Amino acid sequence: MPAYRFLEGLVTADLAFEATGKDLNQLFKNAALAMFSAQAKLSSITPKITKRIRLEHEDLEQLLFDFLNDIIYFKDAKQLLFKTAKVKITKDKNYKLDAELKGETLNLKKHKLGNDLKAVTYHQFRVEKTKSGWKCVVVVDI
Amino acid sequence: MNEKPGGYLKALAKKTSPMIWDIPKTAKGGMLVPVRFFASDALMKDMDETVFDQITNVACLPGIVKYAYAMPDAHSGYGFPIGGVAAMDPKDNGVISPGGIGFDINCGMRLVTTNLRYKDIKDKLKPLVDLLFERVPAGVGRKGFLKPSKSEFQEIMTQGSKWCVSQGYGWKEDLDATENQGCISWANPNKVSQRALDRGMMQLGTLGSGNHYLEIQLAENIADPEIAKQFGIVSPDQVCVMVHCGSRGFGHQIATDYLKTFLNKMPQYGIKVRDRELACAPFESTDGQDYFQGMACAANSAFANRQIILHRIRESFSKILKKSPEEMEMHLIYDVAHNVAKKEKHRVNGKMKELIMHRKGATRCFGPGREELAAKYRKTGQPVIVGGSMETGSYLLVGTDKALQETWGSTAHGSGRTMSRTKAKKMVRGEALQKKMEQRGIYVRTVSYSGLAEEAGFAYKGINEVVDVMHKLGISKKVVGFRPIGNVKGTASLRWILFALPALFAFVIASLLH
Repeated sequence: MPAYRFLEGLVTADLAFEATGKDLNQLFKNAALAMFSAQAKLSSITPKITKRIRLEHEDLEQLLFDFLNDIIYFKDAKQLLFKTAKVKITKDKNYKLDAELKGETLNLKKHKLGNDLKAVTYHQFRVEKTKSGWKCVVVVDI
Repeated sequence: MNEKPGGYLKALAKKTSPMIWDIPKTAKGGMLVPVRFFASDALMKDMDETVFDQITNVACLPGIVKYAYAMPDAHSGYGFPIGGVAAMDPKDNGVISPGGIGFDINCGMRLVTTNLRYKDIKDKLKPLVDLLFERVPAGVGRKGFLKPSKSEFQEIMTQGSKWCVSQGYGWKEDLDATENQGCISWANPNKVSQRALDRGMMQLGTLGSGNHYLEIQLAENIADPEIAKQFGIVSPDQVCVMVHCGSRGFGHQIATDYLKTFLNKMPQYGIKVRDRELACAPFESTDGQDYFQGMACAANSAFANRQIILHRIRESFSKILKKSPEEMEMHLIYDVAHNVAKKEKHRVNGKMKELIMHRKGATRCFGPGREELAAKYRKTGQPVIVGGSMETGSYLLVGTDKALQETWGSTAHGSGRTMSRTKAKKMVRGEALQKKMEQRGIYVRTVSYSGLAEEAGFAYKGINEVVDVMHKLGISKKVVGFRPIGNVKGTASLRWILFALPALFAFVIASLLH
């Protein structure tokens, strides 16, 4: 099962991807990897700095929306580009996310840069249960 | 999944007069006004079906007046299509919607002229583009040379270009050549989140990526010599510089913040929308006002961003050509915002009325006499800058009275994408495109040399056709056409992802086995 794939034809001006996972942990991780790889070539990044993200939301889609927007936030606010993600999703009353992202500070000489992501959008945005696990569709404004 | 739900609506669009197409308000449940497109037969035929779904959704928004308009360069956006114009009546529960402005608040165009001719810069074009590439950072998460303190950034949020000029980053006359004099008065920094400040404070003077660029151009076709002269273009071959960029991470975060707020608050206002990206609040509610004031902070930061870029352009020309910017008469012709909402007075049923104007990927094009225009443009009408793709050229137009009657004083903003980035990359290699462009006399620098393919000219509608529609309709008249000779771009290719995928598959399989 591919971790993620970029979708053609869903949007003309921007970036769309579909990510999958056998469980929510993997789904969130793979969606994060799609975001990382849209920003910079993953093999050019060394996982030196760790960022922990903790989020909580009653709505699963909104949890993913907030998580992916945090990746954009760290790119602009801290110039951080990530390479790996470990994600743990739990649910009691609300969905809770505990994630550890590893990467390093943007370095023009070292990193092969991709697109400057502006925002995760609600356009076609969805998280779905599938036969083999979970799937999400995400459109990012660039 | 029905990805393009607008097909049946496209079929309902009827040509009511040359280049004008209407969709009646009976086409979709909830439409409060009809929809009007401005397009040639060919542009209409190729128009993305999603645009029809999105613009008819806009026609359902509370308080919308007269029509939901789609400009000839319309293409699918989020909530509103790009190229969408809608006016809401605040006295009739009219709403404000971040989806009608876009994530890149006050994305806009700036055009600077010089007294130079092609022969004056021909031999220095490469070092000039290289210096601009260095001094106007482009691409992912880049910081600018300015490091404003929090209190300075507060001033930038409320004063926009005025702050820049007061700090020596520009000339006083630049302000008269900027929409709203580069400063929107209703900005309120208390309506902006810390996250927005974190993202945007250090990005002033940067281009960003996507379709943003800085381009050295030559005047080519002077369609209206008299107006061109008043705007500062006197000769073909005259060197100009065009800039396309917006409010960077600061504006993107403000848009995201209020989109989420409005989604939560809509049930309280009893508003339902057909698309989450159309989340909105009544303009006169506290939430509506908060967004309007926060959006203005982003709009001012975008004016400041383009003003600082202008300062860097003047510095760079001066360094390479060894003349002062004053000697080179580097005057700002105009700066237009094409992603913004404003309060404007317009004639509705014979009476002047204050409306909330949403322009998303659409340019204000006020004709002569409007009090918003600086004295120097009040007789001619405002300059309108329409950027083409990096290969095809751009236009300087002038606003008209007709626009005020037909489109709330609005026109197109660019050429409009017709092809996805992924597809464009399959059609051409970035390196080959760069070489081809150089053979044609266009020198391009980009953050990643392989990154041009997504922005290839064939991925866009023909700029000439877009501009012709509005010219023939008398909405915005052609003044000067430009062709590019040097380009700084922030975009980059994702082609290397193809090479990274096998490693990821292995990684996923390994984690599955684990």
